[in-house]
Amino acid sequence: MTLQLQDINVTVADGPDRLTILDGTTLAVGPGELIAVTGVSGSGKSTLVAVSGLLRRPDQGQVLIDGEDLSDAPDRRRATVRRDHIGLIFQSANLFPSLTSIQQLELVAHLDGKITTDDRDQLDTVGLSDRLHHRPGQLSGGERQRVAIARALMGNPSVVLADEPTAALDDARGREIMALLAELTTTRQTATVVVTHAPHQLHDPDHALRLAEGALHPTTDRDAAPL
Amino acid sequence: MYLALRDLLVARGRFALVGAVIALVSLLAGLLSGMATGLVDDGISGLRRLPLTHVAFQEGSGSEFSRSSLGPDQLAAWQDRLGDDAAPVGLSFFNARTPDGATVDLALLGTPPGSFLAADERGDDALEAGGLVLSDAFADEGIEIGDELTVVGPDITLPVLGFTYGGSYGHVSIAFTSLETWQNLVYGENHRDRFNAVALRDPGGVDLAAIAEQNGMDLYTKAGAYDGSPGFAAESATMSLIRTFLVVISALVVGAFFTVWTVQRTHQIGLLKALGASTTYVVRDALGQLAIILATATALGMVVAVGAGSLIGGEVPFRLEAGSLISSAALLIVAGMLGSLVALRRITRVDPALALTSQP
Repeated sequence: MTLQLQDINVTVADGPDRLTILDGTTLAVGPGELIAVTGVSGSGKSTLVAVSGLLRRPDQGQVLIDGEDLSDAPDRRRATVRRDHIGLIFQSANLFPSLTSIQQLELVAHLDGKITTDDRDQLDTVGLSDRLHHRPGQLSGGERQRVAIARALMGNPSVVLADEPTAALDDARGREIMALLAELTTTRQTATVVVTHAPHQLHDPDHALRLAEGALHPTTDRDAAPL
Repeated sequence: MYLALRDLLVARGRFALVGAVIALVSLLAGLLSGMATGLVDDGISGLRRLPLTHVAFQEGSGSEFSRSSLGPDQLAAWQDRLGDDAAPVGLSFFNARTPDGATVDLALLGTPPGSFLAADERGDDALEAGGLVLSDAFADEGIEIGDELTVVGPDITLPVLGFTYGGSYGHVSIAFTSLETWQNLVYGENHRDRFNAVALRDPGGVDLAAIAEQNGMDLYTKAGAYDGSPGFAAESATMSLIRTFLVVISALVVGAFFTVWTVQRTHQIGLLKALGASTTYVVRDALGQLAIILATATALGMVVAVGAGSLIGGEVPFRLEAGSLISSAALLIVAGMLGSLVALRRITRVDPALALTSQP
């Protein structure tokens, strides 16, 4: 498996007590596999992405990326794995305001110093070859999210994590973005986890899971609005 | 530096504002540097230009010429060991009337003909003749060679024999004369060959301190003797204090800006880390950006200071030296970088998970 979460526990301070966010959560995603995760607000979806994306350490459990257990790895190693193996897509596109589309991608290449992927090809892949030199303020919401997807794919990551990538888009644009993610999962053979409030926008995920009470449960009710 | 450089280009207005503040501080530092150098020059340039390495004063006189009085025995003690590398010096302040009735101040330095302090033969000839060789500054007041100046008090008239770059002492321009003339002016006929101090040129291999101690004198290096110039120590301390305050203020201004800028960029820093940037990379990026702003604005301020300095008239003691300007600029940049350390701590602590929250 490319991404594996094993018995993940995450708690946060809640006054004098601890509030459990993830409680023994387990997940395994292989190459070319797309998992949709739904759940009510506050169910821990973003925490799941944070733990999977090595942005946050779990209180207990293991996080394995390409077989390497990174739960207790030093910050520097976790940052390197994030850079080299994980593509992150955020709720709002989270682009740097001062950079053009092509520069958003070049920045990632600059962080790495080894990436040889042609940045223009990446933007071609997401249909933005005519928006190379536009800054985020000059792009529509859908275009911004496409740039964010292109950025996440820089360096050909093995894991792609998307945290509600269509939350800021209308339904039609949301479906386009989800279709793009599904296509890229297949063509790039990434292990993709999409956390979403709108599972109906995903045509055919390999698995749809619902996060409730800190654990992931299989669900087939993809068209239903989350609670 | 990829993001830092592009931020600088895109957010030009924001950086121009803080750059302007830093440039103004730098301008002020440059002007202060010029004034400090000018004041120092005005206080001791006459002493500095003399080809001596040490000065021996009467014990307890604190390197002040006016408090020190030495005689032939002390001079002999030095000349026995150093020969011509020891010369008696008298230095006193006088007023003198010019032929047109104006009054000028003189820092009258007397030394005998043949002294190593006389720059050349022409200087020796002038000292032999017992007249005055004046600093160039007196020429600006309309005094010419051949004029006669009457020293107020003893009412002795002396001819002006020439001009030289004599500098000044205690903010008064130097006038050279023979030691005998100086002695007559200060002590009258009964001067008993007294003078203020012994100028020394260290030939090496001689324990000057021991000679001074054995003969009841205090020995000062040339720089050490500057403190005896009237007001020099207080002026230097005041200028140093002002410059210190300026550097501290500069550090606070830069530190405050960098802290606010870092707070505003917190989400962006979290995003950078989330994309895989190491803390070292993020710190280097931020420091590089600050260094560019600091260096550019400081250099700009110094350039303006040089321009403004050239407009300052001769009434204000002002002199810019490349070394002093560069050290002031370097100090400001270092202070600014130190001021940013508080913000750097914040940068290292930004949580990459912040990238998952909504951008403010």
